[in-house]
Amino acid sequence: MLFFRPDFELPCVGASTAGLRSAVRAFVADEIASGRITPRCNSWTESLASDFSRRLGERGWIGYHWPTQYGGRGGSAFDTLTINEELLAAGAPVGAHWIAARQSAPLLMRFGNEAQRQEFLPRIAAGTTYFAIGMSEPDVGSDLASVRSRAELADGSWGLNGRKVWTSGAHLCHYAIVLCRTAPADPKARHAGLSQLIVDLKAPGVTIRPIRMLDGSHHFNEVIFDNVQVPAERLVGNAGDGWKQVSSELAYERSGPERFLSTMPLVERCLQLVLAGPAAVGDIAAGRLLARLMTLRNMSLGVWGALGAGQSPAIEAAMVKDLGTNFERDAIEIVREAMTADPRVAGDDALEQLMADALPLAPTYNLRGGTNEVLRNMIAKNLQGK
Amino acid sequence: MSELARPLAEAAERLFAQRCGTDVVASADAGTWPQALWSALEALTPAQLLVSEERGGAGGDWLDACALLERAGEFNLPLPVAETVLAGWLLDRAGLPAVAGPLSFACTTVDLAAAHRQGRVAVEARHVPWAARSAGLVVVGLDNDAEAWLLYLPNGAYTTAPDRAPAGDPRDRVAVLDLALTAPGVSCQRLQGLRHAEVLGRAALLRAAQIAGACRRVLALTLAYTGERVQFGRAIGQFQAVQHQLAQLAEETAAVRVAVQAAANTGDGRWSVAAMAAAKLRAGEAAGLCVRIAHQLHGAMGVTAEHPLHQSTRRMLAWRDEHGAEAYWARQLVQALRDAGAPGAWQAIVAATNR
Repeated sequence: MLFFRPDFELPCVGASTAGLRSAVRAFVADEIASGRITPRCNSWTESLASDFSRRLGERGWIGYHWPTQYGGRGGSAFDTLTINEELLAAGAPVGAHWIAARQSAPLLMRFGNEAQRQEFLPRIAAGTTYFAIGMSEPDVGSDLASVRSRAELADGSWGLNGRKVWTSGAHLCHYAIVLCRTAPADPKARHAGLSQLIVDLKAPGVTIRPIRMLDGSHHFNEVIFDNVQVPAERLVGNAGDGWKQVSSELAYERSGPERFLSTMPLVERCLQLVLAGPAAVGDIAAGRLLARLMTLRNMSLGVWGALGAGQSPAIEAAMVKDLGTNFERDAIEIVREAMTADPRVAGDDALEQLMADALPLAPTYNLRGGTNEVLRNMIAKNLQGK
Repeated sequence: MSELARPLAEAAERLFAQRCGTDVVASADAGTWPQALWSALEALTPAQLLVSEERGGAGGDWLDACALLERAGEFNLPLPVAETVLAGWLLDRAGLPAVAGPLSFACTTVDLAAAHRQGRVAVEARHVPWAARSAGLVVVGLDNDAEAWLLYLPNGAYTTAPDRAPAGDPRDRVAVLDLALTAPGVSCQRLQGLRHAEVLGRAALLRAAQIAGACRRVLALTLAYTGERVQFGRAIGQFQAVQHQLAQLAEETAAVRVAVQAAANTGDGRWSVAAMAAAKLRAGEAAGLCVRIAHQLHGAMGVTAEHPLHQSTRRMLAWRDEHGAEAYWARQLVQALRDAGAPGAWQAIVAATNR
């Protein structure tokens, strides 16, 4: 395991990304100052702004490390990480393109055919085409191999029937990548017979209904497919390879900086108030937040470096996600206590607004992208050599 | 990374696996100085590790030192390894000749610049590792004009009263009542370019490295025990409630290792104290959680004198308090960012963790 290897070295990311980092910082500061965007926690799930995504796309800041023929700038994976870190830390509204850039594009890059890459990747990089994940179903959450949506091939077209839930952003997305059964379930090979289809969410037979969050906000949807016709060339890779594809996607889904930076705008505001004030006993709580953040960033860099080097650090990514999402949740409580106990922090309007947005959604941090219980099962089984 | 770290870690691991079994540790914890183990360790030249090659040292860096101390922590080495490495480094930085034999180290608030002016010194220090058994003691004092001062005392120039850390490692009380700096073997020097906080940070970093190694050991012990112990017809490691704690134990172990690696990799400069503070703080947090989990999963067996688990866990609990516990380094970390003029937390975090 990466972090336990005696020769494990943290990757070097400093000097090469410094210019890009300042450019992104300056851009976001200007967007905030001019009132075009409003920072908030969870911006990668809660803040969907197609105009902002397009402005990022114009600058080349979506898929920066992709090959130029697919709309990228041929940068390094650490360049893209740098851009994403700065956007998340500032709470910029990246929700519209987030899933497409993080997950759908790498999937197509790895498993898709050339026509699919040319059709979709440049539009994702431009910030104009968005994708949703079609994995979870009403009775299928962590146990993805039991999906019931099914597609049958007839006359050059897959007829898709089924129901997906918790589909973030489907009401704004153009496509969903839908995991479905394309061969009957075999109890002896549960992971066989699954495939992924690129489904046009405007196609006849697709119904999208909002599932409101407990605070009334809307990013989840229920998506129903009633005999939706999906052209045969919209199959990702080979029929039956769905499980392999989904497993590889999870490494991207779990390893990114959004797994410890979701509450960073809140933490940042609180720590700025602490840093601007005189030394006080409240520095103890602030220092603990900082040490955890520094360590999480270092671990995240390690995982990112391994991914970039073509390794599959699935267990390491699960560790960072468990530690990272627990940090996001704990941070809310620690800031909350500072807001009543630390006179340097109390009574700040901006902090109160950030807290009001972040607190109701805190239960989601340990659920999305695989519950922490499932992650811990994976980690333990790996430790036990199973 | 220096070319040394990997071969050094491998050599240390081989040596400790051969020579530092739980029986050797138990006998040391009962009060016996492990001379044979010390003689074997000297082959790794800990006092010369951080001395440049031009000056006759091994030319190692902090990654090398942490690699050695991680292994020492893993095997519960009942010897002043961290102290000898630090003392050797500081003697060299002060331009003093190398000293053979185990060395002790104490970071104090003594005003050594004033002692230097007066030609006489008085020192009182508690919890000084192996002070009575060492060839000499390096004392670091307060800053004067942003530089710390060092006092070297050969064994015999100070009196000791024996005391022990909970696990049994000697932590003596040291006293020097009124000593002339002209006494044989005694030196008092300015540590050019080194602040007290940096020296304490390096000492804390080596403790964090020991904790990283000890976490590895308790993870291995706990994995083995939960795989063997059968209750309700199956190994307890088959229960999810146990598996989840094993996962957390591994996560904490990974986190400490990364925090130590990162701090060892951060060069002297604006962010070194912040990185070392984060490493010791994170190591202290992990030590508490790992000890709790390891004992919980070992059940009653783990709290017996017979089981070797306590050789690690009692040391981890002592190490997390030495050279600054979590609350101390939390305040230092915030102050380090304030001193660096950091406009925001994220910017500072990036600057302090970029390489």
